[in-house]
Amino acid sequence: MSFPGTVIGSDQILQLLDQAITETNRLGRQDLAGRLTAQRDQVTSGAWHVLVAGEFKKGKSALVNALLGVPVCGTDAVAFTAVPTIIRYGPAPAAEVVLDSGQRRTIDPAQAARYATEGAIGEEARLESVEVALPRELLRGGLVLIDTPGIGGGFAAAAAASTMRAMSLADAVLVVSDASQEYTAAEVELLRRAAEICPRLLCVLTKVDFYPEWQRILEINKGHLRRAGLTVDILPVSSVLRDTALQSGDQPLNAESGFPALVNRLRAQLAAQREAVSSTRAAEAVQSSLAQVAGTLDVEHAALTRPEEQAATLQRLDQARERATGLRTPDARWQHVINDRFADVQSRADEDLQARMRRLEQEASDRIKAGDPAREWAEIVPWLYQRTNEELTDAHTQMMKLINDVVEEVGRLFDGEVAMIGQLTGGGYQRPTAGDGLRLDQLSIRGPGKLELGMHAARGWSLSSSVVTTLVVATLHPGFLVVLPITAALGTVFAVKAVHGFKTARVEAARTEALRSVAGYLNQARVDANRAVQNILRHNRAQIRDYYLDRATELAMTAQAEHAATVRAVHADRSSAQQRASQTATDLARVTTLLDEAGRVRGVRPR
Amino acid sequence: MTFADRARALLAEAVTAYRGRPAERRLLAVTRHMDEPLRVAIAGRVKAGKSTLLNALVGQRVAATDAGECTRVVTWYTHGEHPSASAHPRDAEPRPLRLEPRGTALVLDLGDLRADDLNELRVEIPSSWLTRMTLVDTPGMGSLSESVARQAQEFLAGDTDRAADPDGVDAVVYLLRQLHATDVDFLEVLSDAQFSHSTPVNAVGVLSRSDEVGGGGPDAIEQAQRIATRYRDDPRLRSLVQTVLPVSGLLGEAGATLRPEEFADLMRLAGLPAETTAPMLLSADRFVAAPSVPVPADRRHRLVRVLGMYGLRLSLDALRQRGAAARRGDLVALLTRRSGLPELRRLLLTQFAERRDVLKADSALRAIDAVTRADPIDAAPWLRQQVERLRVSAHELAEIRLLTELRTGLVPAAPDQLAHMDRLLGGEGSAVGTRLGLPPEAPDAEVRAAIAASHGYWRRVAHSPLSEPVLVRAAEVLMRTCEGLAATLPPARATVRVAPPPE
Repeated sequence: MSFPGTVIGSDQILQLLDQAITETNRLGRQDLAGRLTAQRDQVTSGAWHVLVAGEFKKGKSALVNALLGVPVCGTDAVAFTAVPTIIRYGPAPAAEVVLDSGQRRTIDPAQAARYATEGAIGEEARLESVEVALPRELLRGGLVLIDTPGIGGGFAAAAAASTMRAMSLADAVLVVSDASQEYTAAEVELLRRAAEICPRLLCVLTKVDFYPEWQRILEINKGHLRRAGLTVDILPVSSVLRDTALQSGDQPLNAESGFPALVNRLRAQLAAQREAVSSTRAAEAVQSSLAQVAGTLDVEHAALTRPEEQAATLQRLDQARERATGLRTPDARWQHVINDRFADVQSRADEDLQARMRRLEQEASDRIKAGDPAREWAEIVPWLYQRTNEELTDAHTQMMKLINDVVEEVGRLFDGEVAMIGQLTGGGYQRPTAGDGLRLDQLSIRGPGKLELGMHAARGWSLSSSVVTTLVVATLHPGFLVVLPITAALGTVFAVKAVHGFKTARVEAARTEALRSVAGYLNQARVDANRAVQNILRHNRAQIRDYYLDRATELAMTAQAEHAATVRAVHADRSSAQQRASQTATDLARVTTLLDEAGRVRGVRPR
Repeated sequence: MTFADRARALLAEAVTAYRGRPAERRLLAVTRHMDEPLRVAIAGRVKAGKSTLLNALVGQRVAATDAGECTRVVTWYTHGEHPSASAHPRDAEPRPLRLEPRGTALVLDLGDLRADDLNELRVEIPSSWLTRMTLVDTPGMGSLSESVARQAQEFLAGDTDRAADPDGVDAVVYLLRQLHATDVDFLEVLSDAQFSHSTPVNAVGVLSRSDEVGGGGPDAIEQAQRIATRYRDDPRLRSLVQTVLPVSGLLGEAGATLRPEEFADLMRLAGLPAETTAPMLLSADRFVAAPSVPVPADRRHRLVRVLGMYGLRLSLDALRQRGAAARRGDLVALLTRRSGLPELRRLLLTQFAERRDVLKADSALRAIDAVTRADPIDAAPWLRQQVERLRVSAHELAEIRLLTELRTGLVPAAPDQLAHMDRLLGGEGSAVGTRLGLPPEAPDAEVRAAIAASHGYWRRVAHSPLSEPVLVRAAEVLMRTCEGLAATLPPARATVRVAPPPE
């Protein structure tokens, strides 16, 4: 069974990219061509992370298997999925496990399912995730499926906060429930929160082959969503029918399984996101690369046609080169700003978390002291989970905002530097076709303007059209999508129960036990959140620094190229100078046409 | 005088003390309750299959079941010669309701009453099972409807303000669907246990909807067995329920209520060639929608609703194997066997019914305790003292307490010691033979010897200077248990073995 064609943002943008790659290569800027090629890969097959989430035993793993037509995730009546499985495209089947120490180990892909349900390599090591590469057509377009361990109890589950975190970073989320029963209160609450934090949400109703009343459940669930104010679709599917259809090649049965509709929906969402984000980003990359090439051509043309300016130009370019090289050193201001601001974000996020947890502990302790925890424990536990999830989700959103602010600031600073260098380089360049001043400094490397701040940016980064943020997300570390179950979660509830159970029934003893359990749980939640904060910050800092280092290197190369071109002009004899001048003019005209084209593409792209 | 007799005497004193006060009514109700069948609540999360299981136990479709959430009011089912029902609104007098037979089901007509305004419903139907225990159907936890969730909470918490239901229930059957150990559901369902004052003695767990485990494949029931075994061995579960049994209420209900015409339809379907039925059985939709089948679509829809996909596949397989010789009785027996219902019935009878008097006496003491706290008259401290004295001195309760301690891991002992203690205390059933690990037909002499051996063993443990204080106390309880068991045997006759005369 194959799926026709991969998802491509737009033919137009790919054509533009190809032309720009040819152009940069021809003019000796292999570094720019490399960047554009990477961009092209992003458009055709950049990673698009889809998280498969839901309660336990709802058929999440079976859904992933049925989507792919390969039993890659463990489905067992008894065992549970213990760690997430991340499945992406690869030319040949391959699999790795990621240990909780961060080490990776290659495994037999056929064994991936076993590792995901066991969650450990014997007694030796615990796993963080399983990563599988498969040569499936469905994945070729960049789709990355992440099968997660179930969460129990919706938003009032112990692990809901880490699920929310993963959802906020994923490109899309499939929320799975089965036709055996309608949504519970906790499930609706989870959906409501997820809709706030994740841009693309889709509900899937599984096992519709087994439950004769699935259509009524579907209607009831739609009603629940409507009353919760959610406009999320629910797609009914049957993994069993799908498997049977794939084995027998029975097309009508395949259609009946509901999977073709699900596949189409995923592909449409992917295409929409490519349109909205990748194409814009690609157009920006074309513009910034070509502008540098155009600047070089312009400088060379000027040096050839106006030899009297050569000396001054060389001097200016020396300065430019120095400045651009300076941008690459660890002493550059933008680097300091990154270090300082990220350290800042780190300490603010830590403080924020700590303050929230302290407040929460106080709240919980007030509640416990006011009553008899042994009697109220069954209410206290979900309440505490829910409150913790709220606080952690808020804290995460806050931190993402802070990161966005830093990215903004670094971007502005870097733009300033670029503008200075720009004035020194292609200073007198006039655009031959339109006549309006087109100078390098106006072609800011930073993309289509501001990051959308606030909730919009903090949720789905992937929605933001910023070059930098999308870059960060495109290289998203799969570890961020790992939903780790909190194992010790209020396990000592049983100690509280025991205090009550054999009727030594002392409220004080129960309170002490309850307070200790709560403190233990909150501490664990805080440690887990802290770890996530550090990982996310470390990853983002590295990504942003690398991105700007690359841009600085490009700028230095550009200054260098212009310098070399001018020197060539100085030494050129008259006839070859004339020949070269007409050549650069032709090249410049061609590049400018492409630049205009890129501007148009970007202009019409929805942001 | 047994513990139950003493509890009853104390209850009478409490009634006298509270004569003319509001609490009197409640205490009188408790007194009446002492002679009634055991009250067993069926509890669990929403859609766990509580009503279906109740129907299966009663043997009639009387609790409404539906794909959506259904049970919204706590409903009591008791035995009565003729079907009848009454509604008990929160703020008004009870009023009778119509209970109409519709097919094999009895349908309760709420009329203009709203479920939210009702405290509870009471239904009487003729059922031999209900003569042995009163069943209580409860709305599930985790419902999207807040009032439904609240009802369940209030009920299981044994909310003492409710006159109609003063002391909750004597025992609880918890329905669990498959859960994860780190799951909040798990905690929620289980910590309900503490609300209704349940102990591992008066609570059993049921892994419900066992025919749906693992997507309802052919080995669903076997898989459910594996899961139940795993739950049974989970120390945390053992501290809350005696055991966990896999049960499919749907198969049990179908077995109990399968109509001859439904059987005839199944026979007709089983008579079709496998090439026709195989594609039909791929999905519920296909089964109903398949064209040109000798059984009309609406009747097929009914079959799949009654049996579920697992039950349908199971039935057709079985009927096909038997061919024309298949009998309705055989199919009913098969469905009932697979449902796991017989095991559950046996468990409820041996575990709950055998301890009925103790459980009820304990309920009565709880009621007295609650009344004296709610209305502290002069005699209240004395009554409470008596309650405490009874509780301390009743060996039956000491056993129950020790069993709870064993299962919550508070007694330091070796695993085989723990198993022995558990069984001796009646953890697997309170018949003498069961407690000693002997077959029911074991001769008295063997039983006597086993008791003596146990007694000797626990005396040594109790007197050993190496035993920890907790274990010493446990061993003392067990010694008394052995003495109690010995007292139930007929007095040993001095038997002289006569050697056969030499030939």
